[in-house]
Amino acid sequence: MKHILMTFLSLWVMLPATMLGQDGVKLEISDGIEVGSVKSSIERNASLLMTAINQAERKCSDVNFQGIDIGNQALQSIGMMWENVHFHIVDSDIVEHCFRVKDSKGATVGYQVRHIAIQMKPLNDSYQGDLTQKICINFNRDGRISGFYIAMDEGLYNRLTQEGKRFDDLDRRMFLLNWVELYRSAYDTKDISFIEKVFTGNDHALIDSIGSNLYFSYLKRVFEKSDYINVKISDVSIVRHGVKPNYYGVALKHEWFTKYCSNGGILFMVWDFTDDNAPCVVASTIQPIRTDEKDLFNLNNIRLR
Amino acid sequence: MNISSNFRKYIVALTMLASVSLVSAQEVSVSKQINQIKRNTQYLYSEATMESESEAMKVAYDMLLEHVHEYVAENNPNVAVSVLLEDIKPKSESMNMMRGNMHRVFVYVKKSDIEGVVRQSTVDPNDRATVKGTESPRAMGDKQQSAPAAEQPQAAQQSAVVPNNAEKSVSVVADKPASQIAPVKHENETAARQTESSPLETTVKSTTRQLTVWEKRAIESFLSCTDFAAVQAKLNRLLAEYKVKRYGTPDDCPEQGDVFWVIMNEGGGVIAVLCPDNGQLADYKTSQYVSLSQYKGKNAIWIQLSK
Repeated sequence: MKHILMTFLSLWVMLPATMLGQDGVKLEISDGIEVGSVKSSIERNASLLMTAINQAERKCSDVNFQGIDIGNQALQSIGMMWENVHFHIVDSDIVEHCFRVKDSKGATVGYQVRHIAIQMKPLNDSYQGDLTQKICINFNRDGRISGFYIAMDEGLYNRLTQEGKRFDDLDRRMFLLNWVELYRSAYDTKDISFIEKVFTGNDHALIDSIGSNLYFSYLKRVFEKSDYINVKISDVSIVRHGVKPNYYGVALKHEWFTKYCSNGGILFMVWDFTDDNAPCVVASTIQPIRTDEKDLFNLNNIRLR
Repeated sequence: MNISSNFRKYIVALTMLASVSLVSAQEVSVSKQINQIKRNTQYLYSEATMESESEAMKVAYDMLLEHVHEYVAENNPNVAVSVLLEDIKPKSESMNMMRGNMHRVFVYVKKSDIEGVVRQSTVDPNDRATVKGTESPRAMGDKQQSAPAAEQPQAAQQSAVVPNNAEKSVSVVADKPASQIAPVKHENETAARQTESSPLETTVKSTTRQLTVWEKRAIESFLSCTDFAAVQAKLNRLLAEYKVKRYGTPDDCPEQGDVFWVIMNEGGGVIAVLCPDNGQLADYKTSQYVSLSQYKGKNAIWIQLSK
């Protein structure tokens, strides 16, 4: 009798825990896109992907992308992140806004679902960042997953959205925010080629090119030797040139650390939006974090053509 | 009855597990409530997850206000309206929960409750114009002040019209004129303005002075604006491109016949653009000489295009 009672009590306690631990994740879009095939595709693909992630995390295996309409870039991004750290989607039932990604003419070129909460599941003690993060999933116009990365916080997103509406250049500021998120993600995935382009791929003369190249060389060695790179991005600012409005200065502070070393700096880049379909970096530099504000590079230091 | 020590340990372990399940169930319950509100089209919502609750609350409300502005603008396309955060907050609700060691704040407001707090503005160009900036300087504003070539003029512009009272009103334009920017010659601009003499009789159709291609484009871009927001966005863009040197309201116009005028109806739709021509004003579309007094009761801003 005692044995039956104990078994019953155990089941009564454990059943909710089991239900909570189910892998299935369902995404529903509340607004931001009309009801139709694209909305259905977004919901289906995102749900399948997040379910696959949770299954892989529970089984400690690779993510199975079978049956998910996902582009190569997003697939590789998740794969590279998965090699360094696992995570699982916190909520099984997600309702979120859908944001339209627009080009300079206001045409919709894709969609985005942001602020999906994940819990990091480090593979070892090399991960030292926040265990709670938010991800952003990008979709193309047909609802195919085209991007997946850890999102910047809502405060920054909101500030840039307000600035974009105020200055009538929301599309450009969202592009730059997306780039900052990809830059941050490059540390999560140890995508050294992405970071290499930031520091060595400019056509114009680099400011402080020696410093930038040295920094990149050092970072490359750290990527090779470390399990996971913890990174924190803060103080992001985007400023449009007052006289040449196709040029934007992007500044951010980034600090990264591993079990054995740490570094960081203040990255400043100049973006050229003359061709809105192909914005490019025309100058970049990195300065030590403790640089005085008066000595920081800004748009006034750059001679633009 | 003596309870064995093993059985006692088992009960303690079960109780602890039950507590964890209860907390998890409560979190699931809050999440469920949040999702129900998100699904309900009668509500506007926003949420933020930050390290501190106060920070999350502030960001969540800022984002909620943005959604409210969009909703109000969609439902009042031809009227200049504004909604202030202090009006929304009493009508809204919030829910808080922990996400790991972060604070998640969810805020929402019923759409029907917004209608009661929407402020509508009417504009009279002949009234003394006062302008108010509702935006506080941005975090990077300090950086900008040491860079006069950067986005300074836009930093203090308001995003909505704020009325003084029911009868007298404020101008739709932003507060800071662009005169603080050091003028920079545009190397791409060609051909100085050419003026043409024209008859003085207002009934005779006359041509306006010769406008350059970029000036015509700038004027025509105003003519396509159908509300205040579009006019403001256009003005911001032309300021950033330094095509507009300065602008203002009728009350602070230095010389009425020397500037361009953008005349708007009640909703901000542009009905005419007047061009300066030898001290007089001519309608861009009809090329006829006109007087500002013909547009009494309409909204108006003057702009000075860059040379």
